[in-house]
Amino acid sequence: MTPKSKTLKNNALMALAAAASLPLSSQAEVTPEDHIVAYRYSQYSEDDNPRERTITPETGRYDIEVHQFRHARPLGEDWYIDGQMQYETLSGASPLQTYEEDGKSVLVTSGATIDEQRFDLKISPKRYFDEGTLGGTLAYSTENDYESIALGADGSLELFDKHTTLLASFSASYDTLSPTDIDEFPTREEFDGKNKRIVSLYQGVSQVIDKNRVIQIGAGLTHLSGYLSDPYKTFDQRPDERDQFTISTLYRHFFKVGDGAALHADYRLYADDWGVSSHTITARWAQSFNTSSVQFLVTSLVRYYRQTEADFYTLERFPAGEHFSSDSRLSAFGAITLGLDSRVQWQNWTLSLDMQYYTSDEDLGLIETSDTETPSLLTYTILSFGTEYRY
Amino acid sequence: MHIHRFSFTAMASPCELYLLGDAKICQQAAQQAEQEVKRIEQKYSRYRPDSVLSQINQQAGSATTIDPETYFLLNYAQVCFQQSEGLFDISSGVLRQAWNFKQPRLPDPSELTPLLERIGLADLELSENQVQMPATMEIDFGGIGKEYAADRAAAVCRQHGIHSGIVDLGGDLLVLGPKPDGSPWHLGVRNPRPTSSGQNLNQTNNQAFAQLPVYEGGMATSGDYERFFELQGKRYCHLLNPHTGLPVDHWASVTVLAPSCLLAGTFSTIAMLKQAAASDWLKQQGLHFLAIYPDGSHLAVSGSQ
Repeated sequence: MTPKSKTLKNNALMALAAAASLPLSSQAEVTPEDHIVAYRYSQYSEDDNPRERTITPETGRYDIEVHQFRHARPLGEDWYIDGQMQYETLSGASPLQTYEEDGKSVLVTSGATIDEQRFDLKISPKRYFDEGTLGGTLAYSTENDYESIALGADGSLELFDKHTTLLASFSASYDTLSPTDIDEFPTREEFDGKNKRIVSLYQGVSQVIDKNRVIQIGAGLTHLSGYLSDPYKTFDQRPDERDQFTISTLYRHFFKVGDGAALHADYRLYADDWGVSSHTITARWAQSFNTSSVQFLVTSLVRYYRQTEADFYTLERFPAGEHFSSDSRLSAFGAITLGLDSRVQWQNWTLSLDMQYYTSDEDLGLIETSDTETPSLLTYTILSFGTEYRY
Repeated sequence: MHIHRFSFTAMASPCELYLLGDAKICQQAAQQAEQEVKRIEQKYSRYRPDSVLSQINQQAGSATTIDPETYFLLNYAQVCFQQSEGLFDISSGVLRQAWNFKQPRLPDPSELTPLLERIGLADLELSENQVQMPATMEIDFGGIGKEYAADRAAAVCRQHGIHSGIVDLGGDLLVLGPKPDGSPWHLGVRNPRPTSSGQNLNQTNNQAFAQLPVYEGGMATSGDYERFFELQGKRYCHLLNPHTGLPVDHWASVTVLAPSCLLAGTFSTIAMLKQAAASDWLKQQGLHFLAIYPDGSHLAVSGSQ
């Protein structure tokens, strides 16, 4: 036996298995046929503020409990409808202002006055065609001081033997504020009934490179207008328009490691006309393990984020000028997220347990670090437990 | 969950689906799976003059435009041809003209030689959109079509969310997934030499030679008992070497387990055609298999795959 024919023989299974896997081009996007019923519970908790920076003894921040219910099912031959309901309870305190005094930053928080509920409902029907999809979204959200209605549309078109997919989406929302505790904070009254409008457009293209690699590149534009300040912060006066621009790339690479694995590498560039620009880099490794009856999927995540501060971000005690805010989300900072998601699938059931840790700090901005301190930057953890039944 | 059984006849074989799940969903899945099998049968039947296969054969000598599914099957057949060093050849069906298994008669070499000249898949030119073969060539999807249909029927069931059960198209089997308690299905391998009667192989009389545990994937058997005649104590079966035009005689049957029924089917057929070399070759692939000798002794190998 010559070495060449020996190699050929060893590879017969691989060669035939490769030939037996249908080419990607013949796998059209088909209407999902599963009925799904799912429930998920999440606990979000923010770490306390540093006591040496808080002016009041209250150092606690938000704790949120989230209950999510989901039902999805096909409707006729070509439609699939997905409905989600979410109920949240929020409690805790939020920062009112940060200012600098004697070279030291001071944080004023609201005290543990916040205790509220939020209810979200979202319905997304989708129509599947031979060459693509067309979907819509209708969402409604309400809490005691806020109401939001959102509408969206999205579509995909498959080209070139379905190796290329064009994606586009549009969404618009209309939010109305009705601040609480007006008796205690009379200045909030002027914000009552104010509204905020958001219009968003995304266009992208997804390209299959080969059977193991897919890349997606997209650009998005968002225009916000109306009342964009935070009525619960003191000395917060922001412009009434904001234009945001994003470019994002998503890369997926599948590997034959264990019972299958995938590397996700994503990058996003963001810039707006308030002077905030940011970079987000996310890497995930999804690994599956199968036994005869149970499938496991474990996904680990690392994300790095950094942003520059808004032009009107200030830590002045009594800021002057047209626009000012001491909201930490408008400061220069960096953040790291670590996550671990796990899924167990057995017959029709899927159980999931997810953990996420997020920490942000002005020093994590690494370059162009501002000289201002931002003691109200967040550190939080999210723990989620979910169960899903498909039939 | 209950097990639901559905039966139909397609590809000249009794077909059975054993599906676990909600009765209504299983019923829908079975109906669509049956439609899918019959669609493939019509498309690639050599008995229907209007089938895609018949068109390719009628237009032999000039190019025929083909769709992605036909390209997939022809490309797969070409890979089988290459990997089996020409033993698995979908153009070898013309040998049926010399071998009529209804009568115990050996063909004369002068009958075989002109037929052998018409065989040779190396001469088939295939691109994604068209196929062209010599005017004298004739192909069929025996050894591929039914196995492919079993995989497709299984895919239909999985689309309905059914992940436990068996698709059985005339002995070409595909296990969707293990039983609800996680245990494997035990699939019977037919005894190629039933003890009670030598020639009269009817359905009620096929005792199992062995029961193989299968969690998931395809199982197919190729054997010398499907069509054959005996002459002067020697068995001549329908599995013919495309180089010599003569039947194989080393194994009575070879059963292979593989990730899909299509793979299991081609590996079992190639193993029969490879004769004595088959056991080493299958071991090299790391496949589970059970090979039975004509004398009833056997070779069972647990592979790594």
